[in-house]
This record gives sequence, C-alpha cells and structure tokens, in this order.
Amino acid sequence: MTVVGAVDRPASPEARFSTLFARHYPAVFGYAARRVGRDEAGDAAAEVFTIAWRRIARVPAEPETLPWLYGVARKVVANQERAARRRLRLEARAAVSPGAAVEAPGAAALDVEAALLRLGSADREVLRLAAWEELQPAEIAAVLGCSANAAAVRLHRARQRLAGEMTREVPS
Amino acid sequence: MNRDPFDTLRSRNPAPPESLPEAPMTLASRITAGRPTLRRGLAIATAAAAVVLVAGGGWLIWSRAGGGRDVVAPATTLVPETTTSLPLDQEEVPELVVYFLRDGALMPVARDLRVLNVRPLPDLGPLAIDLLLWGPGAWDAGPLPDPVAAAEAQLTTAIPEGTTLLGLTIADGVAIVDLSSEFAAASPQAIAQVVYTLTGLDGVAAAAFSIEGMPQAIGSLTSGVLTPHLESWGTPTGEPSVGREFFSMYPSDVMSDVMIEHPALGGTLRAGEAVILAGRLDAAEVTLTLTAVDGTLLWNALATPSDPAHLPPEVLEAAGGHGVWATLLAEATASDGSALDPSEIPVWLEPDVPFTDEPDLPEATTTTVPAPTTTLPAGTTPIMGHAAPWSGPGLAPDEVPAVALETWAAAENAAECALLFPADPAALADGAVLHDRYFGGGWGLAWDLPSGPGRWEPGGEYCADCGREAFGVAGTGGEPTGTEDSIWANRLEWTYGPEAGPRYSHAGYGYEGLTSGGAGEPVLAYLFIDHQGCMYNVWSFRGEEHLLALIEQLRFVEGTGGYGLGALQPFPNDMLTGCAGETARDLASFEAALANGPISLEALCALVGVPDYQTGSGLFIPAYDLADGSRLFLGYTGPRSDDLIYANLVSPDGETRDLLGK
Repeated sequence: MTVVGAVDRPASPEARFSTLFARHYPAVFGYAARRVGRDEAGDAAAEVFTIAWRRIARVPAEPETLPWLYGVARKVVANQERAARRRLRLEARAAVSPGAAVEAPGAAALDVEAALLRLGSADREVLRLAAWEELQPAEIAAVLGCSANAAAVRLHRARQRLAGEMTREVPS
Repeated sequence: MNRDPFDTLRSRNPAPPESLPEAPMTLASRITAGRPTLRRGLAIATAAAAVVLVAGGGWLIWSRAGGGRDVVAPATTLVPETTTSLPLDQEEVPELVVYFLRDGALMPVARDLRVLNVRPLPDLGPLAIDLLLWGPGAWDAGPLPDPVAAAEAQLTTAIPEGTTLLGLTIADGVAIVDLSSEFAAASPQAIAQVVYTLTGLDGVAAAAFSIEGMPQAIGSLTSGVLTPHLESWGTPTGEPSVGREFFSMYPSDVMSDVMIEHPALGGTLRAGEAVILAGRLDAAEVTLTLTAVDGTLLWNALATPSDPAHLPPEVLEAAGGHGVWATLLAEATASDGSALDPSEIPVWLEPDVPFTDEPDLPEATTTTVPAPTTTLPAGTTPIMGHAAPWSGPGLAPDEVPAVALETWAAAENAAECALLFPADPAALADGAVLHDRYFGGGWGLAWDLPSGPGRWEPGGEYCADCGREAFGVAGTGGEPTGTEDSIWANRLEWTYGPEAGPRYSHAGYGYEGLTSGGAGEPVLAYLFIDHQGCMYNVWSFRGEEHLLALIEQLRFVEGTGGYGLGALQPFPNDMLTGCAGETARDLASFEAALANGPISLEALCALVGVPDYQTGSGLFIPAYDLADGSRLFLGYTGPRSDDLIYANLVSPDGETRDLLGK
C-alpha cells in the first residue's frame, strides 16, 4: 500500500530500528556465534542492537549499516571474550576438550584453525571478516575503521601470513 | 597441501549463513521500549573433570591502596594436596564480590583487587572465601572515600569466628567448600553468605559444604526446622548443594526487601550497565536514584527485579565523563503500595569498558569517545597495540604530494626524521588542502578545511571558522628517546611491527592546553618511533576520533629514512658460505653465539646455520624460527655488514626481547 505524501517523510527511529533489526539480526548473531559460540551470541547480538538503538541517529544508512553493526559487535565481543577467557581456561583443563568430538575435520581444517590462532588478532579478524562474513575490502574497512585500501592490504598480508603459518606448521 | 588455506578457512565457517536464527522481533520492541534484556548471566563451566582450586601459601599479603604499610592477613589454608592453579588474566582487573550483612540481611560488597599488591594474583575462589571469612573489618584497603568507609562500617558477618578455609573444589558448576569445624554451627545467614559469594564467581551455580572433610547436607525438612542449616551427610535428607534460589524457599530474613545486587557496595557501575535488583518482593516496583557526592541528582529510573534499568552513558558525561563516586538509592514499593525498606550504597561510576586488548585500536567509525567539545576522558590505561601503522610497507614517493617531500627535504632534521604521511588523506577529510606548516628546525604539514575550526597562524588564536590547519603532522626536534608523551593522560603504545622487532612506538595525546582547554582546541599527540631522531606532533581540530584515525593512517614515505618493513622473504640459499650444516632451533645456541656482543651474519651463520627469512628495507633483517614458536630478528645495517643493531626475539604472544641486552 502506498500512502501519498509519506514518501519523503523520514521514518521514525523506531521504524528504522525495526527494519535494520529484522534485516541484520541474523548476520550480527552469526558474527558473534563465530567468535564466542552460539550460547553467548544471543547476548552479544542483543547488546549490539541496544547500542545501535542508543545511537540510532549515528547508524549509517544502507549499505553501510551492516559493516557499522559489525564494528560495534567487534567491540562487544572483545569484551565478552575477555570475560570468558578465564572460563575457557577452566574448560581447557578438563580432560576432554569440549566439542572436539562433534565433528572430525580434516587435517587441513585443523591446521588452518591452529594457524589462525597463532596469527595476531588483527590478522585473525580481517581473515574472519573476509572468509566468514564474506565482506569485501571496502566493507572490512568500515568495520575496522580504516581505508578500503588499507583493508585490502591488510587482508592480503594476513592471507600471506596465514599461508606462512601453515608451512611453518608442516615441515616438508 | 595445495589448497589455499584461506579457502579452507572459508569452508570452516562455524556459523554458516543458513544456520542463523531469524530476528526475534520481540527483542527489537523491548530494545526500543528502552528495556533491553541484557543480563549479567552466570556462566556455567561445563568442565567434564574436576578442577581443584586450593589456595597456596604466600599470597595473603596486600598493601594499602595509598601506599602505606603492608598488611599480612592470617594464613588460612593448609598445605594443599593438589595445587591446580587457575591463573588470572593479567589484563583483567577484577572486582570480587563478597556477601556481608547489613541489618542482618545480605549485602554484596565489592573488593577491588587492584589494591592486591601480589603478582600473579591468586585463584579467585579461595581468595573470595578468605575475604569473606576474615569479615568486613579485615579489608584494610587504604583510605576509602568517606561514603564507602561509612557504609563499610555498618557491615557485619555471621560467619562463626575462627572459621578457616580447608579446601575449595569447583566441578560442573558446583563449588564444594571445605571449612573448619567452627562452621558446623553456621546460621542461615552464614550459609547464605558463603553460597552467594561462591555463586557470584564465574562458572559457579551452586555450592556444597563439607566440615573438616565431612560432606554436609543443607537444610532438612525431616528435622522440622525450616531454616538452612548444616547436618552431617550421615542423614542425607537435605540438599547436597544449593544455589541462590534455595534461600527464597525459606521465610528467613536473609534477604532484605530490596537488594542492589549489581553494582555491589563500593563497586563499579559502568555506562550502559544494568542495575540488578533482587529481594524478597519480586513484584515490587523500585525507584532508583543516583546522586553525586555533592548532592546533585544524576539519574532517576523506575525498575523491577525482572526488568532492570540501565545507566545511560549521558549520566556519566554529565558527571564529568570519567569515574566518580556517587550514591545509589533503591526505594521499593510493595504491590499494595506500601513503602519498603530502602537500600542505599556508594558506587563508583565509570564510562564504557575500555577496549584495551584490541591491538588496532585507533578507530574512526565506531568509537565510543565523546564529541570533541567535551572533556577528554582521562584514560590511564595505555592502549596496547602490536603492529604500529608505520611498521607496514611505506608509501612510494610518487604517492605523496610534492609539497610534502619538498617540505621534509628542506627541514634541518630531514636526515634523522623520516617523513610520515597519511595513506589516504581524502578519507580523513574530503576537500582538505595540504600546505607546509612552519615548524622551526623540523618539518610540518597541515591540511586546511574551508570554514572549519582552526587558527589563522601557527600558535595563533583558535576560531571556529578560520579554516586553517584542521589537522596535520610534523617532525620536530627533540630526543628520539624522549618521554614527553607521558604528560598526556591518554596513551598509545605499539610493541612491534608485524614482521620484525624494532618498531617500538609510543604516543600520548590530549587537548593542546594552550588556552582554557577543552572545546575548540586541537587534540595533539606526541609520537615517538624507535630509530627516528625526532618527536612527531600529530594534531586535529576535529576531535579525538579524527586524531586516532589520522595516526592509524600514518606511513613512512620510502626513501626518506623510515624503515618500512616488507613481508618476510625466504632467505636466499646461495647468499652465505661456510654456514653450519643445520640451522639451530634452540635459544641457547643463539645466546651463546651472541654472548660477546654483535657479530657479523657470516660469523653467526657459521655457528647456527642459514636464516629462514629475510626482510627489511632500511636495515637488512635475517630471521630464524625457533622450536618454541618464537622468532628471532637480526637487524644488520646491510647484508655484508657486521654492524648488528639488535637481535630481537619475538615470542608467540608478541613479547619482544633484545638478546644483545640493549
């Protein structure tokens, strides 16, 4: 239905928030799930959108909305991870590493995950954004707050270092 | 393995798009109604095996926060049978919450571990119990502010005197605490104090007791006494372990009408955090009032235990933008409208949690810093990053405007102060015009923005629309090893470059401070970079965010003396002769080879073998991989040189140590 005269009226903040929430919640949840696990992802996503609501006037329009949300999620997750680190260590001390038996990934997958963990957190994040969130350099730039050029360079170098870590791991 | 590891990584997405839930729109409505469902959940550890936490000896010492005398607390622990330490995250400065009593009811009380003068900090579980057993008076943590000292003076404890901790085991979310025989006669309040304190720890949902090793049941209906008490496991009719909900089953007065669970008394409430309420009357409506020490009303909100109120960040900004003491009052109304006993506690207000463990912090788009016209928060924690922006590849001279190169080349200090230039100035401000900026003895570059804030001439008065020098960078005189940046409360630090060690850099920033300070002034950073013989000035009239974005963009310009390090290249096989047949992988071999100071790469190679990599564009930097995952970078002035400037060992977690002992 089209309401005459409504076209140019700016949407109310609530309507705008509702729209971006419906559109981007799954992606933000996914971002958090990939970094802190699905159990914690709901809380993280809720916090991200709470921040988005508080700053609704500063949330950029599409198509920059999602990268902006990822940028917020990155900080929220960083805080959650810090809080969770102690607990993870507790789990790591258990005889069985949780979740390890769920799926038996190939040696390559294990290697790549181990290699990923050995990289610096900046490299790790740029690789995850490209591989898992499937972002283009310009979008990565919006998440990390750098230029698209710098993002492309960072991604390129992170890929090189990932490959380097892999060869370091496997003596030929 | 031929596959690109990046593709492997892509195929290992732990949460692929098709697995993601739909947006729960009820949550959206709750958020827009201003009542987000953030909770301070109890994280339950799902450890499959028991983790035994036993306090060791020797850590029961802390010093007064004000730097006064040391206090040696009573050693309460026996020699542990098994000591499994659960090390505390060193970056984390936690606040432990222990439960004392006020007017006979439970009261969460914060214990700020920053005053613990022991490194590493001990396991938190035994520490929490010890802090509880010692009682409220034992916390002699220096000069507490008056409201806190007054509130602490009202606290009591029901823990039987002389009770000591014999052991603490945490498994499957249950903490089993072994206490000395004094605790056998514990009152319901004492049991509640222990249970609440333990279940406040991460990963603990319930507590169980033993006395001198003898398991205890808690509460027993068959005994006819409807209050929590301990009885020996010989008559297993009570509960083996209980959580907090247990105490709501008893009509005891363990709980006050309304209890502020978070923040704890004397504890920290951060911007955006919820005030968590508990108490006997869940249906009650609670009015929260936050008052500054001088009596100014800061915040007023309505909440219920199931629907907490969140501290709006604006409140903190209004209170000065950084940490302040305040008083939090919770006044409850019962469902029949009658007023209940209020609860009032001193709290420490703090801005958003700083993201201190983000290595690439300078951010332009999503930072939480206040608008440029407000006072900068005094960030006392240095922001740590590993790779400095300028440790990457430099800018080619033809990427940089001629005026920049000319200005640098004409400067007296050009030889020792490489040109730093932003990689993408247009991203910092569209339409900015670059010009040289006088900087006596050094070089300066500034960008003008028409009708923006700035000043008409160097050192001149500021004005809102001068349009001059909106931001810029300069290389000044000054010692390369200076510490002038430490005058600023906001610090930045970068420990090493992505590939190699020499890029230690540090900076401090704040409002320039030439006028009254704050609004209208540029934010100025003093920046020091290893191996550069100058102090850099970086400034922006456009605020803190903009300055950090500018710093993040800075790169050396190739050919101007910066050592932009390239990627690691395999070390050429045929470059050196007379090398040891096999490359050493242990640190001891390298330490021995360098024991007498710098040696040439040829001599080193004869001792420890061919390097794995080389890198560097100002220095020649061969690198060795060691078996323990660390990497050794050797900074030579040239491939055939015997002038070894450093031998930096970079451990897997980023720590750098110069084996030459510089």
